[in-house]
Amino acid sequence: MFKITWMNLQSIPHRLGLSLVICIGTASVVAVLVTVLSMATGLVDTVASGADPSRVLVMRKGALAESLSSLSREAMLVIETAPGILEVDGRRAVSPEIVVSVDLPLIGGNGNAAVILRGLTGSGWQVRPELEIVEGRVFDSGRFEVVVGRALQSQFADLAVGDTVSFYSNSWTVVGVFEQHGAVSESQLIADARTLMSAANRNVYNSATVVMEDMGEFDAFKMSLDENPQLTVEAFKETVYYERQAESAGQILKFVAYVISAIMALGALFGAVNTMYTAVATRTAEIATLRALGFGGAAVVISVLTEALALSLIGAGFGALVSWLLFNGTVFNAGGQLGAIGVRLEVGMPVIAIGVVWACTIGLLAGFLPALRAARLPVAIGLRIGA
Amino acid sequence: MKYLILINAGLWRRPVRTVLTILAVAVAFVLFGVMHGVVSSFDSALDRMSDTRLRVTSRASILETIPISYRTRLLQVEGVKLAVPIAIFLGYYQSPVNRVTGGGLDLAEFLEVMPEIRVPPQEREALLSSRTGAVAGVELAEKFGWKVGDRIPLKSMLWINEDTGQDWNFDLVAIANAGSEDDRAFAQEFYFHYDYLDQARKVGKGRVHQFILGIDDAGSADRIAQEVDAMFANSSDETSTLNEKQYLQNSLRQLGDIESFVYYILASVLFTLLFMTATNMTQAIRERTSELGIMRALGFQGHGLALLIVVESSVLCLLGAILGLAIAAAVFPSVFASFGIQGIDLDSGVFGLGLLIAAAMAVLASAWPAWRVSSLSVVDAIAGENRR
Repeated sequence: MFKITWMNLQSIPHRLGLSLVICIGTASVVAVLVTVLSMATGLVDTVASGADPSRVLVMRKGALAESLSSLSREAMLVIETAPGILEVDGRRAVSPEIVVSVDLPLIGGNGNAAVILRGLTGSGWQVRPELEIVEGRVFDSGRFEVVVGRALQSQFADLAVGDTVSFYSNSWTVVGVFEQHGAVSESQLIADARTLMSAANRNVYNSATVVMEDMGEFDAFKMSLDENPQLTVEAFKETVYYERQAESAGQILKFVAYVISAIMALGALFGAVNTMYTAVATRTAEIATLRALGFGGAAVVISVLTEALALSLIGAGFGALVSWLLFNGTVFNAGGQLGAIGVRLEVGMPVIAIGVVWACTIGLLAGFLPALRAARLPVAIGLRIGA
Repeated sequence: MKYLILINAGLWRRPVRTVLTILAVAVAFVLFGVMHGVVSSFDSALDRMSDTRLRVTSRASILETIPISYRTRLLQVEGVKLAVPIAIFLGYYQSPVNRVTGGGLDLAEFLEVMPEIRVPPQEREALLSSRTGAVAGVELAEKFGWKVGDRIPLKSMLWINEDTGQDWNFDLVAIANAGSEDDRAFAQEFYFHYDYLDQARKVGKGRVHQFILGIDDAGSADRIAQEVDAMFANSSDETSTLNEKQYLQNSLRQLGDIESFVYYILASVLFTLLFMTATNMTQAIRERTSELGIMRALGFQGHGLALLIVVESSVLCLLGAILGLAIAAAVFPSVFASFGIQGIDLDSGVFGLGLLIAAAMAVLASAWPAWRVSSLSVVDAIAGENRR
């Protein structure tokens, strides 16, 4: 049985053109599936990894994004008195933040796209110790200076240290570059909150980021905000908030990946069935001879299925390789109207495994009917047709 | 006539193969139809934009606001006829999934500057005289089952009502673009009086997201845009003035890098299909070698047989393409509907391009087998020699 399977596989090069149909068909399905799924997982990881398990985000009740929320200075003072907040050097770890989106020019003169600009006070840096200045320095408060996220530099023009960008009627000097282990805030700009407020003509904050002493006290913290008649705010654990955002963003991409790949797989399947029918037809005499020599129908079925499987696996490997060569390490913009999200695309093993499973399914389905036909064909007829 | 019979016989020589090939072609053109259709409907939306309208927004971002007091100064710019203020509403109906776009604006002037949006005269009167009156595009109204006379409660993600918080109540007194000749692309939104919004909102009073400028002459659009932006330069609210086409282009670009990605996918689909069809045609001709040799012996010319093969391949590809594009056209509106946009049909240009690609593919796929047939040696062919 292994012998005829092996013999069969060795004859593939003689039917090269036909065999390539299966390979190229599955390769393009796997390439598209792997690439779009990698985009989806990259996006989910990028958004979700911005969260810190000890932090809480406070926004206006019902606001769906930070930039759509607003919190007055009075509200901020009330929030600071809530229970459970971590105290550092006698000050409560509450960071009032401005979140706006500004339009910046893209590289290559392709117009503008929106970017999130965050205004932080001194406590903003304490609350987010993972923000790391990797080049230049932090902005001075009171000056029109910004630091830019690493992921923005590959998409937007004029964001090197020393460049100036202009928004809110001022030109702002880029004084530093920060990283946050690849998380979503690397696609943002950060400036001094007070400078930004006066430039943007605002007197309210957007959100507050709070560090809890212990997440076990979150419920008490949340309840005290909910029950305070002076406030109409809502508190989220950062992990929950970012996960929810990541899910909704990733779901669309995953849906697109599966729908498009499924349609492509259907087309590839039609092509592959065709190929396998022809492959079986050209081997009619050979198969009949083997049957006459005493090999059973099962052996024939297995040899045909193995051929289909082998070809689709080669295709899967090729597809994954193309996807990896073309897209691994590239940064794409998954942002919406509120701001850019630079996502680094990584073609990883889990996603490739999904692609391989799809390819095997295509191969098996494609080999099934032709294999049955080959096994069922009466030996005498087979020998006659083939000769 | 005799050729028709030959082509028919050639196609159905192996019916399973022919059907599978047509289905594979059809699948590829379903993808082509839908994906290229989506991209080209963005483009056609761009083309429909008026060149006698400009949009003035905050220079910082389209979600930032500018003072409504700019209106008087905008109207002083030479060539500007109308300056219609708009405050974007960012609302939803019942659940955040049901987005409602549109906003509070000067309804009388808005209907004047946007002739694409049509309201029956009677409803128009009711709309202009009711403080909480609103007009919904017919697609939006149908989606949520709204009728004239309904009270519509919406929630805003942007504006807080002094009395009712996030909740805003409107009286639907008009439905726009319900006529059969009206453009349904302009029937997706919800508009109401800016004054109602401004009087009731808790914060942000006196500020709007943009002005639509109606101008006399498309030729002066650039000059006006420059003048407007210069007028507010170095103020605390700088502006960015774009014609509608540029404005839409900028907001579509926010979708990210979708467009180039669509074409990567389509290129890989079409390449695979081309390879598959070509292999199939080669195989089909190879199996028929001795048959074709006999036809040559009977007096058929080489190039005649070659043509036969090209036509056979074209029938395969075009049948598949027509089937695929028909399916694409059938599912296309629901693709947009899943993003909340109703009543968008597949552009007829997509059909044309699809058929053109199918024809080109048919010729390419049959070129090699056709060439081989035309140079076939009669004796070898009858003997069934498979010269590869």
